[in-house]
Amino acid sequence: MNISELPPEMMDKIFAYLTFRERLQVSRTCKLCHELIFCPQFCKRLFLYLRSSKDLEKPYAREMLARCRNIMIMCSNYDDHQLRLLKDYMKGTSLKLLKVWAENHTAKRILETILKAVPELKNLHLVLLGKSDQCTDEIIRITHQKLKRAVLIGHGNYEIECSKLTVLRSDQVNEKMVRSIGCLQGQLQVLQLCGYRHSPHIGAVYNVLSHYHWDHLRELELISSSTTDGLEKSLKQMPCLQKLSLHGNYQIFTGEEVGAATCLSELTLRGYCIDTDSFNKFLTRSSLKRISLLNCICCSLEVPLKSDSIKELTLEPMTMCQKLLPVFPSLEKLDLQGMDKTDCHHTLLQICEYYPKLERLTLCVVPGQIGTMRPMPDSTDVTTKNPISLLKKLDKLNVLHITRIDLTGIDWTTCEGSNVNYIHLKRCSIDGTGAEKLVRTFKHL
Amino acid sequence: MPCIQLQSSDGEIFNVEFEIAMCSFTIKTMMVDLDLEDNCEEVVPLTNVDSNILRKILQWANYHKDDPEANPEDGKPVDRRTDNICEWDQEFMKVDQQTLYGLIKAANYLDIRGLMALTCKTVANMMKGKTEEQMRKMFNIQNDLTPEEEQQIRQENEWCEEVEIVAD
Repeated sequence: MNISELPPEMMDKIFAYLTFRERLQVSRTCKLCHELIFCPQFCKRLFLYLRSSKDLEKPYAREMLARCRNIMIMCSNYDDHQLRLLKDYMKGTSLKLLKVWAENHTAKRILETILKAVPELKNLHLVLLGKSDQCTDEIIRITHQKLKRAVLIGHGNYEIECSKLTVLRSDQVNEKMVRSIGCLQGQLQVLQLCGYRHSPHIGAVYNVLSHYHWDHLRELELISSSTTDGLEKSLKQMPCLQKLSLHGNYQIFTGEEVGAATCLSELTLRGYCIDTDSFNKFLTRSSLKRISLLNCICCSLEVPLKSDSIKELTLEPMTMCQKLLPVFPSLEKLDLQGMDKTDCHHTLLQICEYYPKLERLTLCVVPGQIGTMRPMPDSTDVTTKNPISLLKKLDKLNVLHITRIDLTGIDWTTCEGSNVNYIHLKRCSIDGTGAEKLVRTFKHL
Repeated sequence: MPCIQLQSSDGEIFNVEFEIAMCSFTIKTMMVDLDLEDNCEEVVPLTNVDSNILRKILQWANYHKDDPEANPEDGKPVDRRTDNICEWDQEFMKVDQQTLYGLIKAANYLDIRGLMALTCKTVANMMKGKTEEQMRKMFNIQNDLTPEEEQQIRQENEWCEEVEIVAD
């Protein structure tokens, strides 16, 4: 019997163990293999790159475009003939994801030509390559009946008319965008206006948000306006909001600002100065499950943050709370990013003391720096000698990620009895005996 | 230890410990459906498996009888690694291709998940890191592509990348 006589479903099971590239390799051996590899299931995962408009003139272009569900069109000039070809080839295909990287003018022409030809499109990802000073008055119209998600990056004037659009992400906040967002009231579930450029139009965004109803909005990411008034009013219009992410400019944050979002379970703050006392009051009232503090500072160095309900915490960098980690006794998941001066030992001591229910721990040092967790062999105290041995105190802990920390010389056997069953070490140094002991100690790994 | 009798396609009868035969979901369901659980006299015919293959399978099942039962719905990511075959299994897989394909088919028919994974991984390992010519030689595949078709597929492949997010 020859391998090609195995039933196709068994061949599929074999192919499942091959990587994408290996499968392509197999597809080149014979007709049958080619046919088996390029099954609809596989084509769903295919991403076709149109790197140049000349690709369209290749003899198999029509066939490839017809088969592909995901296409990326890269910066290139398309003349009218090529655009017609593109439209022709795409007509009737079940394209689900379209990415376009192009200059404003090209992007406009491509979108206006294609969007009508692909009625099944669900995802659009547009990156405009022009600089802000090259931004023209040209309006890019995005009109589609089934489009669900749109990511619009770069300087451009968009007009969006999509009745099924539920997810919108953009770093462009201008008058046109504000107007478009207004038109999407009631249907949007996720709105992310990210990007670090502080736009003069952000006030207008808050105006729109606070004047319409956003009954389905679950996720919101925004740059803070100078006054908190707009934010409070906006949140009142979003009864279902679960996830909120705010970019600040080191303003004071008390928690009052987001008190109107009663269903909130996830809060991310980036660049704020947190008023510890008021924020703690806010935390006792709220039902937050997950909180991320990125580049934030605490006003008080003596009082720790406190909450009984929070289960997940991310601190980056953790210097803000190095001496006083937040007191969150229900915490199950902790993500810490430190600096090279971070005293991992002291941190571990606190973690063990504060978070008895911890299940997942990530310790990480910023890129370009290396943290240490070197044992001090002279010490008589076991935990000082071997900080990592503290981990066995956390009996719920089962996943451990460590990144950019020097782990040489650590005696892992002192962790004997720990329930950790997954350890991911990334860019850590570890010696041979250490690695061996590690594998031997954590039996469930 | 209660036994059941399995009959291969070429008529040989194997006396198999109940517990070992249960590694096959097909036999398990058969036993339940036919209500044979207490009746050891009955012979279960396996019309798709010959005695050579069945003997191999029983050898494998005997070695792995104490393995924890894999539950596909326990939320763990599907195992796609092929470098985690234990030594005994590697030794066990040193068979000719005929036997290997026989084992795949039988493992599929008998629904023995561990063996199915092992055999498929073994074939996948034979494919890995080979050029198409080496693969044809290894598996004795006739190249039925014209040079133009070959060229076309190669160029097609250059166009393709794997999608990073799976869009619904």
